[in-house]
Amino acid sequence: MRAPSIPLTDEELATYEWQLDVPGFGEAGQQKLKDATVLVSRVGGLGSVVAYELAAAGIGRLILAHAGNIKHSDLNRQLLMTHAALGTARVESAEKRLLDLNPRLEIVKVPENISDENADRLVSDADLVVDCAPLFEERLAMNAAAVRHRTPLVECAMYELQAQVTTVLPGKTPCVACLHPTPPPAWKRRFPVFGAVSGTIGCLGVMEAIKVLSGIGEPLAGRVLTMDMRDMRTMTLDIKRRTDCAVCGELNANA
Amino acid sequence: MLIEVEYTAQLRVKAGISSEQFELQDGASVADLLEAVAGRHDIKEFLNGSLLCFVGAAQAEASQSLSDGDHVTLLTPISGG
Repeated sequence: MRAPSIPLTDEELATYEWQLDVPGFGEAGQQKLKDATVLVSRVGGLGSVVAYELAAAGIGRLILAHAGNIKHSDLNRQLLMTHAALGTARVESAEKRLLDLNPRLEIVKVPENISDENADRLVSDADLVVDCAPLFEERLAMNAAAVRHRTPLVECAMYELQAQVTTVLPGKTPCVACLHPTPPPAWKRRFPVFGAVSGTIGCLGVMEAIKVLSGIGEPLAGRVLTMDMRDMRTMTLDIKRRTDCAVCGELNANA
Repeated sequence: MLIEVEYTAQLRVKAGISSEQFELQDGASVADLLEAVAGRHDIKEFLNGSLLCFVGAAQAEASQSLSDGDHVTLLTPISGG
């Protein structure tokens, strides 16, 4: 059960005054962010920036799911990790950095990656999920749980200098399984990428989250944004629901 | 008919170019186009359900017929990390 909404404090009104001026957002939008819980699946290259921008925007509660300890090869893109914290748990470093920025933030640390075993438990405690996981097995487990709980899911993906972002609104838009019913064999766990690419995509994903939670703008519902940072070309492509999708095929838009 | 094909992510790296044109017989489908692309580039690993195809901005099935001047984007599966 959700905690009752606590009105914005004077400190919060001062902290967020630049975004309170965004037309259509205002104090009502800020209150929605404060009241929201967002689950971030992995706080690596994408998820570090997602969590940091959500903390900066005034999200009330973050659930951070990521297993393992910090390695040297994390540090070109995982901006919540520090050199001094090498060898320690990623979620511990993430929590410290986020609370340095926003001490009002409530953080739930989960030192596990998303799986079929924990996805339902974690998604059921969130208002929105931002999926930043590297493996399609994790993404499909998260997607299935998000569809079961009717929880919006922002999908952020990257490769080399390229980006893909879409927002799944269960029952209304294609889900991840509509696009890739099973883990595509062509995807390899290790891939080339710059931290500036993951950071860019993380920011795009957070804007999707802010739009869905606060009700401003138009999220990438049923559309995938692609961006190639080699030439800064962007496209917005329309994606289709599969009526025979094993995950969301039975859902209708009013479910 | 002439079809413009745009490659993304891993396909762009494999092909070494971002786009190119293919001359196909009238009535050719997306599947015929993929066969032509596979004749020029080693994309075998993507032809097992890993590709999303778009004609213009709309997602297309392999059986969809193409028209002269169509712009086809091939989107490969990418993830995070």
